[in-house]
Amino acid sequence: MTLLHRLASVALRLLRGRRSEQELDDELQAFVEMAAADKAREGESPAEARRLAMLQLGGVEPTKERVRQARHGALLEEVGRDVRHALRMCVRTPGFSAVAAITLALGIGANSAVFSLLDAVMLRTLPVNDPERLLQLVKTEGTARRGENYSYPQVGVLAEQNEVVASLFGAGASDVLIGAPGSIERVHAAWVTGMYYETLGLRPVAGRLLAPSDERPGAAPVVVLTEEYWRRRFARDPNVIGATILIEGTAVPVVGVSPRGFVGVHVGDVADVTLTVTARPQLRPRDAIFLGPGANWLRVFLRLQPAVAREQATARLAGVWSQLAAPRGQAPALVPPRS
Amino acid sequence: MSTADKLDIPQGTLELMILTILAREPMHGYGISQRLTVLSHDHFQVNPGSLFPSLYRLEEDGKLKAEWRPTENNRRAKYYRLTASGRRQLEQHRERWDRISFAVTSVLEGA
Repeated sequence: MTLLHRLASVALRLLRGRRSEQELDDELQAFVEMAAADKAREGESPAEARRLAMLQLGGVEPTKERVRQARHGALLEEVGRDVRHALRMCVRTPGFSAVAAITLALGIGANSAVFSLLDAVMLRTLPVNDPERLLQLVKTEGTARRGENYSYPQVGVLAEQNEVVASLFGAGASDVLIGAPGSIERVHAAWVTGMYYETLGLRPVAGRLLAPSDERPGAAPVVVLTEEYWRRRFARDPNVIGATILIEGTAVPVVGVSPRGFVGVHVGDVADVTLTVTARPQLRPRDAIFLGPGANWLRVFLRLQPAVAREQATARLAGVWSQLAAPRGQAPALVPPRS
Repeated sequence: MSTADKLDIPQGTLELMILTILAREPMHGYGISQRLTVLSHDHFQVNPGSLFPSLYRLEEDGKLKAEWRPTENNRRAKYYRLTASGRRQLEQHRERWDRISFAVTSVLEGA
């Protein structure tokens, strides 16, 4: 290899190392920004949101160090070897020293990138009716958030608080297997209580959506497709509505398609099919525990009665909550949903 | 569930869960960590100090490919997606995990 090739190789390797270090910085920064935006949306002040997000990251430098160690081939050591080799060559050939020195300086300068944070907090609204009136019920302890998942019996009791709650639903998520043996597809499902679509204020683009009657014990399972899944999997074939699809080996009638752009209420989690919570043990008998008091897996979203303030509703739900075998010290809080 | 109540992610299962989550759609690190918390019904919370090294290792091994893209909120984030090799690894590990979990449950319930 000629000296020129060797120098080119050193420069390339430095650039590559610099790029991955820079990229790691950018990636961790994006992580903190997204975490901070979520915390701010949950009601933390911007400063506190940022502090919590940094806490969640668990330190920039330790994380970076662990990533470096995880990389194969100890790239940095390799680069170091090449640099040393190149420097020895440079000493022997003084005319190239200046070039090598400039390359090194660029590499070092770029490696000490500043880790900065932005205060951008954006609330993307769910594609539902009147989204600013839609609230999520989360559990808190003091000012700290302590989870957002409720059991099916708890959701039932919360939904009955008609003095403050106009409509309320619980929603959980899991994968289901769709199709006949040999052509089974793993698909993401939302499991919801009967007031799901009504609370969100959505209208079907085809057929009908789920209603409270679908949640009643003994009601036969039915499924609603998201428009995206209907398009991707069935090319918007209208004959699918009224037909059955095999879910976990059981033929389930497709009753309708939800509006375009709506893919569920879970963060980063696109639902393809939506079923009632009570359909779950019918399709998967081993999932019977999901309807019991021991499984906290449903997130709760609600709309308040028109004249009811958030504080008033929180106080009322806190009273109910204390009767629901809630852990000591916890209280419910109403927050805008994460999107 | 408070952070103290979370379970440690059993050794060797984090990569399986990452591959499973990414088999659905490409996602960035934060999305993966959120999804893991939601899908585990709040029982797991992955520490970024474990998540990112795993992502980089999987990328170096050719199981994942990464690309910078704008997020829905107009940030830029590094999205990871499964390669064909990653998909094969997922299938193998998934089958192995199903056997392990079946075997352990059988022992616990049969003894």
